[in-house]
Amino acid sequence: MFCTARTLRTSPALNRSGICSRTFVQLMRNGPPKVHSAYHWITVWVLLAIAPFVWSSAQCQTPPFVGTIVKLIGQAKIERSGKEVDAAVSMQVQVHDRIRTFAGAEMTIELRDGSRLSLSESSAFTIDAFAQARLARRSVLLKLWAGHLRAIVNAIAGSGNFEVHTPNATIGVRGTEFETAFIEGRPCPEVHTCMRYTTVSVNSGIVEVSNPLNPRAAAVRVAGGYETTVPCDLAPTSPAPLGMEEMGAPGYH
Amino acid sequence: MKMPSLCTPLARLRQLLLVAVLLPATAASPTHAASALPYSDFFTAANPQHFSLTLFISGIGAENEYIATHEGFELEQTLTPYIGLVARVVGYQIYQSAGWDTPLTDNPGSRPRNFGVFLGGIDVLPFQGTSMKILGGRDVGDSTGARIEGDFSSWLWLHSRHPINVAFTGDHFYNNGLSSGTIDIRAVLTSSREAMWLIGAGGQMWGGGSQTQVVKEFGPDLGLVLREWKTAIDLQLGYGNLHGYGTIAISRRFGWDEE
Repeated sequence: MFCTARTLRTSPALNRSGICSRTFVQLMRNGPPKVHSAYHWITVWVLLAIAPFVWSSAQCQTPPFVGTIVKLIGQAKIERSGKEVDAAVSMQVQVHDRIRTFAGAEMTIELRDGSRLSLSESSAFTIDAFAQARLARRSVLLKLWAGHLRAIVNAIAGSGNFEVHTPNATIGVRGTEFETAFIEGRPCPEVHTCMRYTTVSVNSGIVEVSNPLNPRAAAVRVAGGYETTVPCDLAPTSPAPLGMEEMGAPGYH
Repeated sequence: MKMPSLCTPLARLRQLLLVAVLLPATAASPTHAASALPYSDFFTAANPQHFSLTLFISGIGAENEYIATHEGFELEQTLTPYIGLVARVVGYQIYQSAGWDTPLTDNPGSRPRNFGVFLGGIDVLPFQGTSMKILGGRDVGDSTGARIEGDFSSWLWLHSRHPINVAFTGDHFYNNGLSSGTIDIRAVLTSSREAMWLIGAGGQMWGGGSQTQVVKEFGPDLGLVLREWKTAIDLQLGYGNLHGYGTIAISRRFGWDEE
């Protein structure tokens, strides 16, 4: 059926005349129209012809707002078109927004596809791309510039691309819950001399992690319950159980 | 104007001197050192410095009626990426009899014996997941002797499905001449965002002083790490020369980076 409530909502002309719904129902119930309603008959065929175009353009456009801030503790800023404004709960975010949290702050954003992003304190990220077709996710590209980002990817929203990039890691998601941290200015536990690294912890599902600075290095698939580290321009480490970085630190025994 | 020739003996001597001065200076520069050799930053200050506090409490119960509790805290301050300073303060209560970690010279009898232990030393961290502590200190209270302790802990196959931790501890109590050692080997069973489970086995042995023979006890153990709380709970049940025993230990770790 072409005349769904959704099409009517997105097509004010159809909504105003009400032709689509009435005529179509009439057609279905009474069969072909009489001669005196020839005008309606032509209108129906014209509308049927253009309906697919109206439908596809309405469904495939990238909406300007891609998510909403649902939780905010402390102070956070959104940089949009060169201007920086204070973030607040219920504020909508859009593609190319740069969102950053201050010390002690924590923010959760719910994307239109149902995925949730939790940004820890002193973190910054941008939503570089977001495309949806109907309710299904086509592609989401996030860039984490600093700090820690937790993503709970809504698997029901489809199997489209969901990627998080840091300056030295690309994390491709396959319907999952995972956390990414980009740390700069601290020695990497794996390689002390490396002072910028990314850690990826997967709580459920699978992610694929690679280092764009080292295309020859093999990507690593990390399953739920495991984590990997990407030091500088080196290959991601083999997955280790979640929490091994903390356990490896002095003080456990 | 006449340029000085580079081929004169004096010029060559100057070049050699320049090379002799610049070569060691280049080799000693931090960037060169950091990338050239492992451990070349062994004595370089850690950046950032890290300070950690570990609170712990444990209880021991044995069939031979040895019952004791300990509680205390440990502070660790990194100096270089490979060396840290450690200080530990522990309170001991021994309610009945004597066991592997008792520096007392006689049976406590009808009243509990209480003493405190102050230890200090260094922690050497040669590579990720490995720690070697060498501590020394003195008891105060019902025990007054000195003691030394060595702790070793290392994670093997850190990047595997089930990494294994091997830990040894050795103590010598000058108060009663007793020496004791513990061993613990455990593997990561499973891990999630909330918790990590470990399973393994361990035990202790001790002898010397008034203990005429070496006494041993071993058993399986189970560990639970509540990740969000940075809290570890360890249980061990076992059997040995002094029959059955059980231990429980709970520790919580706090850490701060110093900018």
